[in-house]
Amino acid sequence: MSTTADSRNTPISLDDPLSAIEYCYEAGWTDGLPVVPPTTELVDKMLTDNGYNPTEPVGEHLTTKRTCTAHAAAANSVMAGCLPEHFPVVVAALRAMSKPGFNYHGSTASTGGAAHMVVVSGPIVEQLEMNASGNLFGSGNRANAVIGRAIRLIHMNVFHMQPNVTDRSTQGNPGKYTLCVPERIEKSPWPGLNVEFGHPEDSIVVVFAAGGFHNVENHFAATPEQALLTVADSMSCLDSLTHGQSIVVLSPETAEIVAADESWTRRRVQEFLFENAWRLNEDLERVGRPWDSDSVREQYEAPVAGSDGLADRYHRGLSPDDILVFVGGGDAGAHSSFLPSWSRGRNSLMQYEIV
Amino acid sequence: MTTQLYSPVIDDQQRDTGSLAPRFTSLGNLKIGLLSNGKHNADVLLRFTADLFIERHGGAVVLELNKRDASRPCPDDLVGAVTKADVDFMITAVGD
Repeated sequence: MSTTADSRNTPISLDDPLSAIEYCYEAGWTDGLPVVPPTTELVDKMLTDNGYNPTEPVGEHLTTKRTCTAHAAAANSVMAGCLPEHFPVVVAALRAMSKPGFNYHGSTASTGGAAHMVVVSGPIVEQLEMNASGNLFGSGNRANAVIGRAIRLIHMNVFHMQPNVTDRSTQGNPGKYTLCVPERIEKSPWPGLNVEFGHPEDSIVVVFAAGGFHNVENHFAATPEQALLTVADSMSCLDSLTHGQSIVVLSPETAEIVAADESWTRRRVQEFLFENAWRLNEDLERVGRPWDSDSVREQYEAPVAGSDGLADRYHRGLSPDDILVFVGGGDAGAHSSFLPSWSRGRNSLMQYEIV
Repeated sequence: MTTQLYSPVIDDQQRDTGSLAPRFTSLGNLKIGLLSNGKHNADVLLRFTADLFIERHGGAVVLELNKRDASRPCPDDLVGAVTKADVDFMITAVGD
């Protein structure tokens, strides 16, 4: 399928919407699930409702020198099932992922199989009726599902990161279909992420090239230390232990236990997790993981030791700042989650953008 | 009722990827550069490939570089070193 650079190609005529769905499969435009056909009416409305010039760049895949125009983003967003009101979040996520520190190409090409996670915080969560409660990472909410899916379709159709062609992920990641979650602010003992990032009046997205989802369960924890040591233990698992960043989503129940004492601020939680998420170097040696190789030293340009200065251990991340903590999920259940950075450690760093 | 679709694909024809280097008219006795992407065994694969080439066509490896970090783009200083080097062609490889 040959198109023009801004994807405003000559429209393709199909007999009816059902045959258009099949056409999208035949053209190789889908993620395996059926898509909403990107009709001229829906794509044009996505752009005009949001005031975008079709040729305006909204994302850049720096290494491959591919640019995503607003028109291409809109066509893929329509296919994902987005309504026009979802589009600004998609664009904000694309802009955040296009920042050099995110290493967009590496994270979309690697065997590591990163899922490109979008965390949404601020008033838009309620405006879009996103689901921050039960089944946070599960199915059932349109905004959660379609925003993440639009990003994935753009990777495939605009940046040409096609599975098993240019996306060489060994086992993939369920989050590669979609991975967009909002912060559950009404159950958070701490200010919203939008406030933490300095934008109390706005909504933001934080983007993260995530490795596999770890469920962290401890229904017996009765103190902040017990609850958070369980999280730290998950963070120090040898299967994903690197100096990379982390996302920790505390369940409302766990957050309530942690913050029953007001001295447990988000910052204190980050510090506690960093101080306790480590393994002895000899543990890494036992499984053949390098902890002090030249490549580790060169990559981090810092001594490989924790804030406590002890060189016999290897911490997850390089500082408490490397751990993003927020609240999400249903009221019941001490089920939190930890998502490590993609397997290449610090080769992709979290970025954020105002919606 | 006819349904009109836009393509969601942007093709590669408009992408600025520079131009190809001039092609060789002969493969004999060329100066070879090696650029490892930094993954395990990339250096082994490169050396093997270069040795095979030399066995068949002569020439010599005159430059060996390692970008260390497989998933990031090649740093500017290494790209600069490649462009300034007195080599006829480079071989690069992904290892694992």
